[in-house]
Amino acid sequence: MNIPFLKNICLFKKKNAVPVDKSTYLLTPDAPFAIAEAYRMLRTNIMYSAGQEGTPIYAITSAMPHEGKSINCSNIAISFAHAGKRVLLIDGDMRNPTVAPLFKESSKNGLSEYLASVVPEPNFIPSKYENLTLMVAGHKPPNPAELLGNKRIAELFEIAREKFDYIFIDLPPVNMISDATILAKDISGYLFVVDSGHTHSGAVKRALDSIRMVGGSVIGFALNRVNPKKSDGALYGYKSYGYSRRYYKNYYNRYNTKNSDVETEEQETDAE
Amino acid sequence: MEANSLSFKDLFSIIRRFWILLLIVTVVGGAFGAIYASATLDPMYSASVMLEVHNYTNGDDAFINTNSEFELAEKLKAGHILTVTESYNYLKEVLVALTHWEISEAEYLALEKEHSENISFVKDYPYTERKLIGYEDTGNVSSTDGLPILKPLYENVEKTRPAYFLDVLSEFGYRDQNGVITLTPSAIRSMISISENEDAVNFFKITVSSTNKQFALYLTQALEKVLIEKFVNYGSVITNSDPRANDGVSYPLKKYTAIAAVASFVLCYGVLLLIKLFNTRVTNEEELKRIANIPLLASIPDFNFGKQK
Repeated sequence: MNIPFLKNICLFKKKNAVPVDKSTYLLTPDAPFAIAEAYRMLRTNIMYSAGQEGTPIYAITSAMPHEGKSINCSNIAISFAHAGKRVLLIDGDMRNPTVAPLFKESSKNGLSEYLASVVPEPNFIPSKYENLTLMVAGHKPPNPAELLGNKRIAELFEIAREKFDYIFIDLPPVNMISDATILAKDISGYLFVVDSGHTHSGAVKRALDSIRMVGGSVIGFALNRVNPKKSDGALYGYKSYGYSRRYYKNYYNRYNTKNSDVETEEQETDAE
Repeated sequence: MEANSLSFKDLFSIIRRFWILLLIVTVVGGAFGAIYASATLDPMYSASVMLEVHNYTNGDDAFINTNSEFELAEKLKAGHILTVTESYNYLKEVLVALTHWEISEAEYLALEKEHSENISFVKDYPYTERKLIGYEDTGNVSSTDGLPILKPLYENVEKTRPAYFLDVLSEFGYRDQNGVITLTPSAIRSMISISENEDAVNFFKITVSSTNKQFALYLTQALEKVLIEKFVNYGSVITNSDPRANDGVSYPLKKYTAIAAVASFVLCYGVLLLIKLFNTRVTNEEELKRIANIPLLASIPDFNFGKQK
């Protein structure tokens, strides 16, 4: 039985299918409370896992494609920027660049150009989000893995560390290509995105083994696309702490109508 | 194929998560069982008679603890008080004796040979009763009342089953031309039930259930007659209400409905369990913990779910 073949059939696009504009998934001030709160929690946990010295560099990756790495990487960066941190978001997936289209930026003069020494200085692009700076992937090179292994990547990190508080790199999936593991020794840790209900445990195990084999460390999982209705444990940190949907709704209404400044204050508190 | 290991929590989580589906399947399965039972099974009719047992009493005689029909009968004859339990056991014993005609072919042939001149006797299914014929002094004295302890003496008496009882069986085709009962004892016993009345201690209800309404009624009448004779012969009185057949038709709905409902639940749960067992997709924190001892930093809700909300 060739199950993968059957699965591939599903990848054909439906006729008249409307392409989804993924930029609508970026974190905005009017994002649903559940999503905004999830990223706040993720931000807090990443902050706690960071060491005391220097600017941490986190790579966001997954076992397989289409698990939500790029969206999550971008939203984590935005969440940190909301908290007043100077954040650099690097699109490290030069084979399938996503940061430029997500933020509707030009893909010219990006990471590939810098690593290939086409441009002398890294091109940091200020985004429409305050405190968030982007470095797009650039033109698709024929040899992304070799470019990532280039010593210029270390130079890039040195430059970025001087200018930013947090650096996030969106990397390709671990089980597909080796790009993600090449940077294992240059980064502080991997954040592993797992698509709830889709990623197989075997794929996650293989990916983690690959990272460990090259000496990389994984700071934690981010379970993506959790549907509270289908998930046994519902949303981590909500149900377990008594945040029922009713509470959630009431709190959200109160939050919006009576105390619109709460989020700003929380951000300031987090920033401190 | 790689399979998950499931904990008790996982087993309960299936119920918690799919309780609506399980409930629907159970109800539908039960309903299907009920429909199947009412469509394919013969309707059951029942007839019943209420027996009221009165015993002669002559004070607080020494009580002989026995369950034998014949010993009890002797107690009745002697004027002993029968407890409710004893009366109940007595009625049951009579019914069992009456419906006990299991006889091997060899025994049947031997009886036929022995009583060749009286074949009807064989056809009437003789059975043996013990009859109390007297007491033997054991030479011992009771330590409680100082009276001599007597040992009852019995003799076996061969009896035939009451004709009207056999006639009922013949009339409804349960005896062939040779007089052989074609109904097995277990089958007839499953038709007859005896129950105590919770409100009135001396009342016992004999119920006969059958797919044939007339047979149920006639057999009830025959049993009533047998039981009255048994009690009267031994010096007791039975008053009773007339046997009557219930007008309502009953199917063994409860039994089939319950079986179908339970089977549906188990089947549905089993399928869900197998799906869960062989589904290696990660859906929650606990499954991630099983993969690696790495913390789950956050669960990000489905964007579409969030937007709907």
